Amino acid sequence: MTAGSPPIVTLELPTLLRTVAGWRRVTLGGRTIGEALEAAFEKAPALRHHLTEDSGELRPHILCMLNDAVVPRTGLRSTPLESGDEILIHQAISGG
Amino acid sequence: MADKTILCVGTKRGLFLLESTKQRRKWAVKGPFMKGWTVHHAMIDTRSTPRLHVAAENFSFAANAFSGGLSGTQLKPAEKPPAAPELNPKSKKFAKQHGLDMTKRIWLIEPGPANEKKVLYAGTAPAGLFRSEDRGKSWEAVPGINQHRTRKDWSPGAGGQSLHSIQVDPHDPQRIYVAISAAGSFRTDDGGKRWKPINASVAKYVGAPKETTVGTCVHKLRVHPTEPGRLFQQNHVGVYRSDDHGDSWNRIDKGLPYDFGFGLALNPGNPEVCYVIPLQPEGYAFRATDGALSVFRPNGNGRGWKRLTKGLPQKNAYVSVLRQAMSSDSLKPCGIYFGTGGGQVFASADEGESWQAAAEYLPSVYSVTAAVV
Repeated sequence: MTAGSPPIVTLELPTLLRTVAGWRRVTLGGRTIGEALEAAFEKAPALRHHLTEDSGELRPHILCMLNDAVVPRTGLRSTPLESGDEILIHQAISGG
Repeated sequence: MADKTILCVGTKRGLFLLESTKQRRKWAVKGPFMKGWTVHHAMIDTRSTPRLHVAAENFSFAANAFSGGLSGTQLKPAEKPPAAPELNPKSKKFAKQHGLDMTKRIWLIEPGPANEKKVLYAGTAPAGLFRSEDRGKSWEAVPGINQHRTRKDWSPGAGGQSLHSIQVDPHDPQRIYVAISAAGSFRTDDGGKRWKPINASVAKYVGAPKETTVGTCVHKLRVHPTEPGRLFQQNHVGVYRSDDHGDSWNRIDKGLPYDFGFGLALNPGNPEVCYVIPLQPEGYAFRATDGALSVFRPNGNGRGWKRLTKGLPQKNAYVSVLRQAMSSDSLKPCGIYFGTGGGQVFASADEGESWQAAAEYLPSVYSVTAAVV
């Protein structure tokens, strides 16, 4: 890694969003989850609409996990990343 | 040369494509595509290389307009989707009080004029009209209708406040019709800048403001493809026909078991008829009349309606047919199609005289459109 370049992380989408992005798993650079999301939106612009509200926050029924731990919605975008981190986006499904 | 008939069937869980020949005797079911997405409407634009357009939504991931080839497997979302407007505070309060659906969704996508092959229109809930000039990659609001002076009087209905019908006049590309529940029908004669309510002599719904030019509950509006100026509408209260571009309407439902229904189909080869499926409105059941699933078309000259039942279940068929779930094709004899809440798709290749199940046991059907490619 060259000086100043962001950590390389992996972002994985739920199957439903493969239709939107054209891929399910991607490697990209980002110092924070916010930066990683922006990098993903550059690769698939329609993802921004499907993942975030106009305010830029994640839509309400979406869960973001970082290395198997749930990331709180407050401060989600500024959560720092390290090389090799894995971000998972989940659809919140509940009920029965 | 066109040799295939394709039905695009939008369902609660995905898109199905039903394929047949021009004879339309047997149907092959392909899909589901868009797995996990609710498909409110899908159609094939045949003005140039046939292209599939799909209005879909997901509870978590919102709605979008998708488009692609006829395989159904390579559909791409719009990068700038139709952005449904917000309900005004009065309508929001009304919708909350009555438990009405306020989900933002895309209700349908329709082709633009024949001479503008890249132009498409989309209707949304809350009610909005959107125009794409790049075959669905990006969408812009049409402010002339979305900010119409009557908007304050547009009420949400049980299915939300939706712009559910868009028809470009085949004889004049500058003339476009839209219909909104529960507001009424509108027409532009200048390509979308100014819009005129066209609801004179159409019954208002109970409780509608008396002084407004809207306040009607049109369920589906269609323009006849060959007869200039002829429109039909299935309304919450009655079936209507207009012979003057919607400036006036005649109620034509005398003889139907119920004046209530959603679906409406036309026959390009016969401008005198329309096809409707009356539904029992009592108790908000919205089901086929007395358990007998029947399509009706006028006999002509005001001589009542013919009940078309051959091949349709006539006992214990308590299914509903939604407004986007009925359509026709461009062949001769004309094919008529509809889908039910029970997942059946019925097809007639002889203008409604006889029917067969083209598909059964699909998820609940939200839309059916036909294309000859």
